[in-house]
Amino acid sequence: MGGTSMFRAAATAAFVTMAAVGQGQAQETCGGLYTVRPGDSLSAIADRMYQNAGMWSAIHTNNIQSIGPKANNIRVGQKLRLSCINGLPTGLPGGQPVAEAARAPIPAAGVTQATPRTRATRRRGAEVTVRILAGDGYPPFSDRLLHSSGMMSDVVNRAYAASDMAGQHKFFWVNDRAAHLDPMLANGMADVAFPWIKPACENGGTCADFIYSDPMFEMLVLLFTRRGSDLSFNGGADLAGHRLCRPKGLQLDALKGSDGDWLRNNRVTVMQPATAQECFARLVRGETDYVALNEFTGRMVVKDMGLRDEVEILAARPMSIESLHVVAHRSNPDAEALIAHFNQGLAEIRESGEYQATVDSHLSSIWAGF
Amino acid sequence: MALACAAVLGAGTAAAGCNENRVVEVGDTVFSLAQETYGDHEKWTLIYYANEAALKASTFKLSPGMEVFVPCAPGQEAPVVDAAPLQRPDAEMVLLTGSNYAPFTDKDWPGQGMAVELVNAALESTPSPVPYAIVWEDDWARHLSPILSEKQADMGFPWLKPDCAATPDDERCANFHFSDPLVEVLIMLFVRADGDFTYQSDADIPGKTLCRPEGYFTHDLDRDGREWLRKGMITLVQAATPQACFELLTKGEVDAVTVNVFLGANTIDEMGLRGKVVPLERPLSSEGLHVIISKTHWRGTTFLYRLNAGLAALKASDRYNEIVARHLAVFWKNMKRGAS
Repeated sequence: MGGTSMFRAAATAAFVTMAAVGQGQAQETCGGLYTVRPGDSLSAIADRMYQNAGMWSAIHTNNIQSIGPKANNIRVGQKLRLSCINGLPTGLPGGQPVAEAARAPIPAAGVTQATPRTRATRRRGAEVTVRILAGDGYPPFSDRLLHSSGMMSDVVNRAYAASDMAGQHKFFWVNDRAAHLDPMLANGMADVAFPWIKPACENGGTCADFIYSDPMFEMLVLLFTRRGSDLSFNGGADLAGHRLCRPKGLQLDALKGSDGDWLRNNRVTVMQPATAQECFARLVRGETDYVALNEFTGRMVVKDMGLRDEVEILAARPMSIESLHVVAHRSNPDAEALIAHFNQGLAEIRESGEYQATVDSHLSSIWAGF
Repeated sequence: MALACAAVLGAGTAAAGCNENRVVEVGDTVFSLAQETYGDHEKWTLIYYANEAALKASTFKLSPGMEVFVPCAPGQEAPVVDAAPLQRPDAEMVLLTGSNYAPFTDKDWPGQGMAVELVNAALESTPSPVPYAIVWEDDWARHLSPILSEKQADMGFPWLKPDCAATPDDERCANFHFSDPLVEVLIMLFVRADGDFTYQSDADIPGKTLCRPEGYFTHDLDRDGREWLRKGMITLVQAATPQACFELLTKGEVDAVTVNVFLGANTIDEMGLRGKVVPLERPLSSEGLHVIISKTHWRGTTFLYRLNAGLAALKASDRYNEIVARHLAVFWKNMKRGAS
């Protein structure tokens, strides 16, 4: 499954495997207790200790009991526990020898890269480790190049941390999203995956095999066209005879209109290349007429590719509404419990305000970027 | 409808029919058409809102030969409040509004106000409905922050939209999405009845002294092609209250008061200035009233879409005009009651 990377492979630069970290640093200690100084903020601490201001959320998550849901709520003299992540920070009191630290659980989403274990090795005593499958290249939701590895990674991480579940959760990054649901979840190579769009369950489809969590986020699916192409969208009939591109790993049933199956009824030619970038490249080359993608990913990719002058967003009439979920396969005997734990944790962080603070921090920078 | 129309007609001196198209003749104004139709020139907003698109396109001028629809005045009976079956206490979407903003939102107003009824009807017409609730907080200063910014409620209404293209850093522009307008509210020039202020085009405004109460928006005075404030072409007096503005007007210290049509009519009525102060026919500007949602709401764009799609469906039906006309009629009827 390490084969074709779904959206883009560049994110692999963002992490260091744990095995590599341990080498040559055997005498050092890693992690430990940090005492808050005047003028500190979590991002300033993260910048100094992890050399990455984006790691503030890992510190926050780790110390959520003493800090509370609002990340700026720290005081001088407060002790924060900093985990050892990628070999940092070193030299704090209460740290662990590096060799030991490498085996310790890693709290933040996005810092683990490992081969998923088989189900047989999953349980350690009564403790369960939830293996969470994530993929890069789905901005702003999951991508290790983003702050806290993306908005949904941040939410999933916090929800499982807040749940009553005994044991830990771990993120496994496999960039071929098309393989996540099947074979990976279907064969028990991981426990849950995110973020996935919940299809219209009355039509059967993936709903028969999967259990979906409560929604973590909701957004619009928009159509993107080439500027000057004169194409519009006021209903399924406008798609007739045209070509439509949607990246692989994103379901097509989200594009079925309220008045029937838009794609089939109108003989739309659908193409599903590996990445959103490839869809937009085809759009500007005239090889597709529409790209169908959620508003956030679409806008971010268009901006990153520098195509804002060439791509037009048909924002007035969305194709549909889609929501993002954590998903487990029904063949997993723990599926119900894993999703119930997530839902409970999600309800918990919604109640405490942590969810809102998290989504606020991601969304405000996303909108500012547009 | 015919009965109700006759009842209204009987009260005045009017003779012209209603619910019909009429060709504008030389000298006709929205006021004279209202006088002819309803026996009451103050009911001109009924004609205005029934022809909003055409009048906006003609920059609010009736010109001879133009065809306008003259509606009948809705009946005098208390409006039947539309059922709102999706309004539920276990709502997914909580909308926040406040009182004392008649005829748009007021708990004591029939149907709780025009904007409330429009929101109810829009959410009923939306293609992706969700259960919703409308909650009230009469302290408007708490709406944007903390209630909406902290998501204690999901959406707020009705709000004027600043000129976000010109001032993208404005707090409202930076932090909130705006829906399509629920309804347009007209910003009028109120002048002394015995004065000689005329407003045929924007060229008539430079050199004038206008009063608009403190704390009210001014972006319409500075929009492209005007820039009256920026270039110092007018004198703007910002009195503490609408009443203070009208006082200055009667003393001859300002040339006109510029506030929305309803606030103006209410204040004139309260201060006993009927017949002494009148609105000019042509509005100075028209401002939409919007539903807003925080840009960091997890369902921000989808809730906005639900509202907009429902509103579009509603505007395509007769029900939209019916709701607007009904509330206008209640407003002018209340004015009459105040006068007698």
